[in-house]
Amino acid sequence: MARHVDDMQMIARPERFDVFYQREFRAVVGLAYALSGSRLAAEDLAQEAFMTAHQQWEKVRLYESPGAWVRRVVSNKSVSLYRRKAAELRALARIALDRQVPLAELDAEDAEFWGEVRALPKRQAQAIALHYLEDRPVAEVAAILGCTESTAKVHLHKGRKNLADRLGVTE
Amino acid sequence: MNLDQRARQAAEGIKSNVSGHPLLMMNATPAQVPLVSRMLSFAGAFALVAIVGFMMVQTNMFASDSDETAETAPPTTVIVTTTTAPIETIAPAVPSEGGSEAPAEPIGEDPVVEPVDSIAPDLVITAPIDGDRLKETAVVFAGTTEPGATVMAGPYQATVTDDGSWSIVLILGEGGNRARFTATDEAGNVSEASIVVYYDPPVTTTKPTSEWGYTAHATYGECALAPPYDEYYGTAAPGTTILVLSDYGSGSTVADGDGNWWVRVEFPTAPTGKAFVVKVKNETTYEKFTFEFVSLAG
Repeated sequence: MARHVDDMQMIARPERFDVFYQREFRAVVGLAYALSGSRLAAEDLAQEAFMTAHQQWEKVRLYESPGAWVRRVVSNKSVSLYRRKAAELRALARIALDRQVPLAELDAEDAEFWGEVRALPKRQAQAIALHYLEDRPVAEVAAILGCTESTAKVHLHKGRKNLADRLGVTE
Repeated sequence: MNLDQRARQAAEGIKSNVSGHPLLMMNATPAQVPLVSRMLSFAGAFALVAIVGFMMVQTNMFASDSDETAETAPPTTVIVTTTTAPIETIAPAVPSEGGSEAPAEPIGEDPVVEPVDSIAPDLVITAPIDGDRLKETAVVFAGTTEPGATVMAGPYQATVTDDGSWSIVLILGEGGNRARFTATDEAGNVSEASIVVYYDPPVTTTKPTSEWGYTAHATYGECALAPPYDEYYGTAAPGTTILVLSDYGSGSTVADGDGNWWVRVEFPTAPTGKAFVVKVKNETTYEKFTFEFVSLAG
């Protein structure tokens, strides 16, 4: 039933939050950047996701992959227009305080690629970003998106086809 | 260039961009990365911009001062200082271009002076206690302030509830850590408070077997897949055998060196739609937990 699509297995060796945070944070920012397209909001979206993980760490740390869990959170936040705008505002506020510099701009070709990814249906965009940005196999993409492997395969297949069409390249 | 090649190239673009960027680091060492609770609203974000003038007086609020290590620095008491915003006079409204609705300034009378809040907001840090020696790096700092005030930890904004309770999570560096907070009320008055806390990394010790509590949890309680399964997990003394028993499927595992255990058990012959009992038993202490499971496989 529904809870199986949220399948997160438990592990026997939970780790400390700060170790987890330091290992995963940058990669999660990258995912947020790819899916939100906002160099302002990416850090804030990632920070929010890690904040949620911290608040539930007693539970999250027992998951087989807390990293998958935090990526699911950030990938959902990143494709939400409201969340992205709110994160951008927060980032702008910090930049106004001279406390943060935004991520650098991508070069034009990479920016075009990720722009086309974001133009895909949300689940396809998430699957494509996880597959290419993080080299995730289908099983891990499915675990992160909270769907079955066959569903993830469909998202990836359609996403790749649509993306190839949009970019005018062969699969 | 095909799709895969293009995608790999674009992925590298993101990775190299992120890897070279300083990400929300307040201090130089990775152990001092602050994690901040900043669930700001839109309004909060704009308010943050508005108080930029006051924030400019802030420097790094969180420093693992080398001269404030556990050995050398006495605990510092909470210091609350206040500053007062200049009293403002609110002038009567100027007639608008139409001139018909705006009240004219009374002739021969003093301008109307509305009462101005010149009292700095209270700012109390209730947790942790100044001088505390803590075993966790991620620490919830909490306290109270004037309702409506904004509480900042350096550049980061704490979550403040309607009643003025605030909290923020920060990660300590090893040794002494000075945490500085400011509260700014709606009139612009600012208060400051700080404490010093110490992070002592835990020393790894082995618990006596008797100290390991036995816990067990079921993950799903139901399953629509074939064969149906559930996952059980919990804690027990390292090396303890855990048995999962039912009429339709069983399994076992052994708690690892950290006292954690996990096992997946399939119930291939479970009847559809009928709940049955699953017992999770500690083979050493004979304690057991009982769960229900129902197969929803069609």
